[in-house]
Amino acid sequence: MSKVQSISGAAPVTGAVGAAYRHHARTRLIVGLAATAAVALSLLVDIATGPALLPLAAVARSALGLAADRTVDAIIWSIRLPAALMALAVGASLGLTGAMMQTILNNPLASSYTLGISAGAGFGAALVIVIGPLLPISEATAIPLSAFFFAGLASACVYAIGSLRGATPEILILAGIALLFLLQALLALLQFIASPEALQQIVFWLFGSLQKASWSKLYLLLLTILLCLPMITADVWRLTALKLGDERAVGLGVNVRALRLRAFVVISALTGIAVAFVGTIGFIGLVAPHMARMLVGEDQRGLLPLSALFGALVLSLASIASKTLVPGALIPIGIVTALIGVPFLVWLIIGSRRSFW
Amino acid sequence: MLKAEGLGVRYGRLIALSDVDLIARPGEILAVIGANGSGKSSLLKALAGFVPSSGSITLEALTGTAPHIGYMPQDIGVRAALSVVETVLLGRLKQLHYRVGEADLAAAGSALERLGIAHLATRPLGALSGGQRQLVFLAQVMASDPQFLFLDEPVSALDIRNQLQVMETVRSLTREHGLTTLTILHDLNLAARFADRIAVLKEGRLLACAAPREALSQKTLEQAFSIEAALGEGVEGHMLIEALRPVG
Repeated sequence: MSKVQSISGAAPVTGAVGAAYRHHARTRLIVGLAATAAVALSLLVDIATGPALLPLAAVARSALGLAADRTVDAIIWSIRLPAALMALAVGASLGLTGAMMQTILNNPLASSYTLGISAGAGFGAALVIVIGPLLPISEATAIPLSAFFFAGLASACVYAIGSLRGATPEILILAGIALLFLLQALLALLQFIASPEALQQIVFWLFGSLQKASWSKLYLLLLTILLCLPMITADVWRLTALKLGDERAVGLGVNVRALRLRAFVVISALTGIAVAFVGTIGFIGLVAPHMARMLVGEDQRGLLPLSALFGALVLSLASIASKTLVPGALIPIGIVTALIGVPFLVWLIIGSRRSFW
Repeated sequence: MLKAEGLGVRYGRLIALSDVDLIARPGEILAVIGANGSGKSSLLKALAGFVPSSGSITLEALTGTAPHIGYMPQDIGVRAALSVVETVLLGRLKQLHYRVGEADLAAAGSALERLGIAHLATRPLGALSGGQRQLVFLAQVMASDPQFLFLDEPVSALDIRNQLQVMETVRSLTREHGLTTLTILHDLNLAARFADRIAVLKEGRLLACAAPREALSQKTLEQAFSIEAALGEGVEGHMLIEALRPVG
């Protein structure tokens, strides 16, 4: 019956649109493969770099379980590999959550750093450092727990305050900025009352460091990523629809408030656990999504994985730089990401004349 | 079939729509006209279920399935870094899988070709003119296979040729597929030419809902828009409206 035929089947299709789309998808895949290769290479160099410079071939042999030298094996498996993999996992988490945050808030400046979630983690860590002696558990355990808890609490506060006025992007951003200032003030207060030793420890924690990495922490972070991935994958088209604005997304059948809430939960979990283990590392969540967006656009099926890959790559490169910039010294990773990230971001914004996607 | 009885919408203290009774039938275009702030967009959103409303709304699809509404908002100022084909594919959000299927691509391609913009498929949305974006969003709605088509000023950014092309496409889709189409239009001549019936709103109330010649009387136009208008007939027999001057 012609009256109830579907509209989309009404006209003949030449296939040109399908071919163009497939070409676009292939380009996205090639970019993803190139980024993966760059991450793998960076991982090898990161493992090889340190007080004792190891040949790349030795690193590769050890990683594959073929090393003959036990000392090299011990350096790689006990110290460098957990830190290098942690750099990738943290970078991927921050890149991914940065992209999600920018999508759900429709703002290219949004990230867990700019919205107070990382500041929440910093406050949580500093609180434990200051009151550490009063706690029944060790500081090494309490600091990440507290950092994770306060990152989640900050995120919940941003969402709860924003929800009072409809959880629109503008209100959520304002709530996030307000909370960022509050947490920075509270952190300053903690630093003001802290002992000189505690103050030094707080400052070092806030710089961020991959030296806190361990296999158990890495497994926990990877498990969190694995648990979050199905949730992100299920919402990937809805997140893309959100880029067209709330009204249009609603028109397409998206429950915008529920989607934002789900995304906030994922962002809080991933950011919270990442910064809890390595400290507050800025700019990854801002830079990586911008790099990915310029190459593949904002179809979240390309943007999110590529933001994760670029986040991993940037933090891995920062890890290498932190060990090589000043011979014999290890510069805190948070300082390096900012030193690399800021000029790079400015170059991306001002220097790039066109997007390639 | 769409039926609304005693429909009302409030935004806090502001009454956007009050006691509206409306019927729209499959295969029919119902144009909604009225001055700025008369409640046109609120009417469409309320009927689509996007804003809370009072009264009753009944939507019955010809197919007997759950009614599917294709809604095209007024705003075309989108800054998403998406290609045209990705944007149109989003019209099929409810059936899209992670990997885009052939049927979805065919639906997107078909909608783009029908509107004559298949050549724009890989262009970034942000690189298009306002009028081209409006066509892309119409293609998005078409790709969703709706039974009810709700269009909020679908031709506001288009040149005269594209206005005619889009309205002719909307009319043929409505007829061929038994769609129930509601469209907000500011151009009274387009409304008179393409709509089967016209609903005239003033300050949230329905002034008239009838065939163009009946709905667009001089008295109704004066009440709805505070204008004096001359009514005539075009070469193809369509009603022509010429606004002469504001009154009151």
